[in-house]
Amino acid sequence: MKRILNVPRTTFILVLFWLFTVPTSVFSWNWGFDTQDVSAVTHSGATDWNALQFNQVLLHASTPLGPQASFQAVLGTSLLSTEHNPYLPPTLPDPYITGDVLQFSFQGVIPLPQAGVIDWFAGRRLKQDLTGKILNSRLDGVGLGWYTGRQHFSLQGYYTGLVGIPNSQITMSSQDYLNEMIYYTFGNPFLFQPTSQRLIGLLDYSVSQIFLHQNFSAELLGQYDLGGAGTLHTTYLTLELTGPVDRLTYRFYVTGSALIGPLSTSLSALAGFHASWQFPSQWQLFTDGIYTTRLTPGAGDGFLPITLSGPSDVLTSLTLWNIAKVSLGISSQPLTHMSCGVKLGALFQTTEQNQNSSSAVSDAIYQPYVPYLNAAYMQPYLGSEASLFGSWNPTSEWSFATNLAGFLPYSLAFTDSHWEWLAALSVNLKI
Amino acid sequence: MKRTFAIILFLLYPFACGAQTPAFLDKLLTSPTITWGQASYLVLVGTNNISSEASPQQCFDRAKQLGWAVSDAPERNLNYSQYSFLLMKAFGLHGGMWYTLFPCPRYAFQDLRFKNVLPPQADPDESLTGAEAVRIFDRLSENQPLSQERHS
Repeated sequence: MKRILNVPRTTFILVLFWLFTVPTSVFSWNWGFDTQDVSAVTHSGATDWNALQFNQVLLHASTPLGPQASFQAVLGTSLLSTEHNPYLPPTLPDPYITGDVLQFSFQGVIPLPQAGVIDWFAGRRLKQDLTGKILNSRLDGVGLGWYTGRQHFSLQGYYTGLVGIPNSQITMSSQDYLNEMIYYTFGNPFLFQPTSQRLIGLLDYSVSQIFLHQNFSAELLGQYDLGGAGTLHTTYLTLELTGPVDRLTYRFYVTGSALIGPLSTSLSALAGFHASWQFPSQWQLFTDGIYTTRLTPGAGDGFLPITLSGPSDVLTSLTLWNIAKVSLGISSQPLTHMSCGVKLGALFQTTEQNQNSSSAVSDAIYQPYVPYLNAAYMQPYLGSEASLFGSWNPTSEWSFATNLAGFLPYSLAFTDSHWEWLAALSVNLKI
Repeated sequence: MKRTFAIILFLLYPFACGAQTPAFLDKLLTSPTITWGQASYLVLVGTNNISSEASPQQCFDRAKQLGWAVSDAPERNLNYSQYSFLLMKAFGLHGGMWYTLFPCPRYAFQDLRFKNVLPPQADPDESLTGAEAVRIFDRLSENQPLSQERHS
């Protein structure tokens, strides 16, 4: 008998039949389409620019599975086209089309008499870690949690190797980068290639209103690389404190991380905060910051998240490798469904080596190249950036968002000190 | 909290809805579901589209006649999207693009959620309780003054 995913074919087909037909016939479905169009232009150096056009259609479907459980699915297809000056040969056919299952999840709760509530989950969903900086990817897995009073415990396990590369955002090692290059140069616009294989486990604990309405959370995250060569295993322990103090709401978190590479083991740390002050009017003042640094003395050591994430609104290739940013902004909500604001920030490197230094890519770690960043620069200050942002939902189906951001490089830190710009407009239509 | 809410409604509604309404509301607030007949009475009487002396059956017939009820049986339970459609029609609310083109429960639900009238976690196909139906009606009434001339 032929087998699919190591399961007899007949059993596999019966399970699929049950999954699709029983919920459909017994329960009512909610469905809807979301369409999104993003137009963005970036400008760097004296003459370089890059225009991007991204169109996406999402099909949402959900159904209750009895009073305490539900099923949700999101299927997505996108079309992306880019244009460069100076001209760069496209790595994928331009435009190119992708399609993937973005969510396919069963979830629910089981009330326990006198003992709280069990919450469970199985399937694929977007998963973020406690900081939102370390893990932000669609993953397949299972989770089990327990609410008891003000406390919540949960244990979750995920596998990365079934998600398509464009939706995973996981690029940690040089091997990941090589795999992506194979995908992006293959030349088939309908090619589906899963991301690198990893196991990810999370153990979470949170307690609300621990004192004076303040909330505490802790998360232990472990990532095990199943790749054959140049594997990188990482663990992260995060502690977070959040809460309101009068009109102030704040969030503070700190993470310690250990990285086990093919050559060595290193330690690093991340700390971040966000605070906002709500005025009696519609205005809100906010500040946030992030700081990462190595804790071991190796020149190639630094903080490495699982998914690529960076501190800058403009320098999209800048990562969290030994970097700091602090920003201050003000926002307003002039209408019920409209908001706008302005934000100013400054960027720093926290070690004498930066992301373009050769030491940054040692021990199988992948770091993208930051255009014009001087690899020999050793001082902290990198430059300042400012952004204007706004969003407007005029009706229940239309929403618009815009972001205009500029980065002024410090002349010694960058070989070209022209302003770098990013302008983006996003239009969403719900059907 | 629920008890306080019920007492306030009990005291206020006789002025707006007539003498038989307190008993009706008292029953509705403790009901785990709301039927088409009950919802029609609550909404049509509350928006002065029918006299408070009318029965739930008469209210349902009137809603059916106006094309606001998407059910044939007054004893059937309503879900959030059907109740949203009834409210949108009874209050004469303007919806978004899709509701204007295709006035139906699906887009009525989306519009009332957008207007922050429905709870954000509400499911369109989920049955709502009597107390929740009264809360939603109350929330909408506060933003939208009632008018006799809205529907002839």
